[in-house]
Amino acid sequence: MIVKRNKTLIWLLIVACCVGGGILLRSKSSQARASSASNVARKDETPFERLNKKSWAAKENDPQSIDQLADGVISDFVLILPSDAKESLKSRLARAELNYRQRGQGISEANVVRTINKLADDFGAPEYAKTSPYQVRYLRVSMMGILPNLVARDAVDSNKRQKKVGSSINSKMSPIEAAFITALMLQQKVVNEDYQVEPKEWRNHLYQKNQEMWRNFRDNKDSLSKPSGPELFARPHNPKREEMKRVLARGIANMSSSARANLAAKILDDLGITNKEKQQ
Amino acid sequence: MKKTTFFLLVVVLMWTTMAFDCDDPPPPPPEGFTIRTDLGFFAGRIPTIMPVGDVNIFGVRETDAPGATGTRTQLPSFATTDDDGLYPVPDGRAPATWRIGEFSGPCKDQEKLFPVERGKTVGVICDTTGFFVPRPGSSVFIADPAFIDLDTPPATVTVTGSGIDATYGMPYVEYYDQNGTLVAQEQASQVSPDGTSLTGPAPNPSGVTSNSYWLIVSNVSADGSLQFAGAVNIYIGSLQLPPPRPDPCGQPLELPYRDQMEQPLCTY
Repeated sequence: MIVKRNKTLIWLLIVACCVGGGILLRSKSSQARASSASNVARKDETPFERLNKKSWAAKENDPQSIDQLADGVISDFVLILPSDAKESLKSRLARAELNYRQRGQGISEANVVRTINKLADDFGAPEYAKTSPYQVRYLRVSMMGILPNLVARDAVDSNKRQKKVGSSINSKMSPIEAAFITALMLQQKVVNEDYQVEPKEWRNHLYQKNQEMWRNFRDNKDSLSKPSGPELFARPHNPKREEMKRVLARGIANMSSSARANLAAKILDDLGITNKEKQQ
Repeated sequence: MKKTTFFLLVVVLMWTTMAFDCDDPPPPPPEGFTIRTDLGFFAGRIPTIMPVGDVNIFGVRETDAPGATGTRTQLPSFATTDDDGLYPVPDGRAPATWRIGEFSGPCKDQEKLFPVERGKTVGVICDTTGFFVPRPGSSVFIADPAFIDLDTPPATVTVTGSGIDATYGMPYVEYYDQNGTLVAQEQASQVSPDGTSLTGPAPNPSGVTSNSYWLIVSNVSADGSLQFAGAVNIYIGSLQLPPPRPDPCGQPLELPYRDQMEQPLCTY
């Protein structure tokens, strides 16, 4: 009887060891399993490719395609947004875009600057988190050959005609372009050291970069060639990226829950993207 | 016997409790480094960057730098960056030079040597600038020459791509600077029958200084409007140092800029 009881206890001990060990092993391998799960679920299209396709689909102005385009900007480019806010944001953006494509009243680059700089102040971000019309224009032009049906795209009514040399792209944007450029600029302010520059330093910074390009051209012009395919480049460690992540986290943590819930709507308000229903 | 039983039960309970205690933070890992995957577009010298996650990466240490520590010299199979594009390499050997590459995405099967510092993040940008197709179903556009020398300018520029159409008139080739100003515009003189190339005069150099430019090809539609066909970023340069841009807030603006843009905010 005693032997039987001891055997039972020993088995109990062994089972407990196995259970405990299994739990420990599972916690260590969960990351690997999540990794392999994400391998299966990985999308091959880049966010820019997805957005570009949607912008071309929305070229003929049908509401469903414009809805998809708004969704493309919000899903792939808006940094932090509660999922329940996405739907209302998307609807508002799509409505405003439809109105714009009929009436042509765009959103100015100055509005994007004001919106971002106000956010930077509200979050207590460093000066380099602020932007300027010059910087917003540069970002737009960088994207105009990548997303031609979204960035610097004239309103439908204006019908793109041959332009006069010396003329410039329109400083007014469609609501979806304005939202995209705002989101993209905010992203650059968080991750890209070339954009993490105070507004008053942007002109000099751009000039330095242009001089680098020029020196490369002058010194190598007989042997310059374009790459034959996509290429990998190294970027050095960027401490400002970590600083901006801390600023974002701190700013959001310090917000009331109602302010957090209304943040996206407030940004659209500041941009000048109205919340009016489409007039019949 | 009862004491033995009690003791064994306590041991079992303690062990089980410890085994369930998975939420305690593990001890901090050795420093190592972190890999970050980004996507980049370089229209000019300043890229537009976006973190991209779920990228399959590989990496192997090539050479140590002085003072290198860490035992890990190779990434595990199926290493994949997280949603933020980050992959920590605890106890990754550093400082050192690592060969890092990507198994997925636009830079699939590309690799390069990267200097890695201990405790820091190494940024791996996939540059697809010249290989992004802005018109779905079309192809990449390439300009020849891709670098136009204003001191010995070519007579013509040839652009290859697809969907170039001369049905309603010769396509236009427009050159936009970093401010979005149209600095030159030419009409093609020749278009291949299969729509894969055009040739036209090189840009008029009078409005052009050393810098990068968007070359945009547009077809003429039946109603006379221009429809985007393709784009490529090129460099136009001379031996003359490019002048600094005027400060839009401090000095008189250039005419086209002032005409086309509302007065910018001058908050600095």
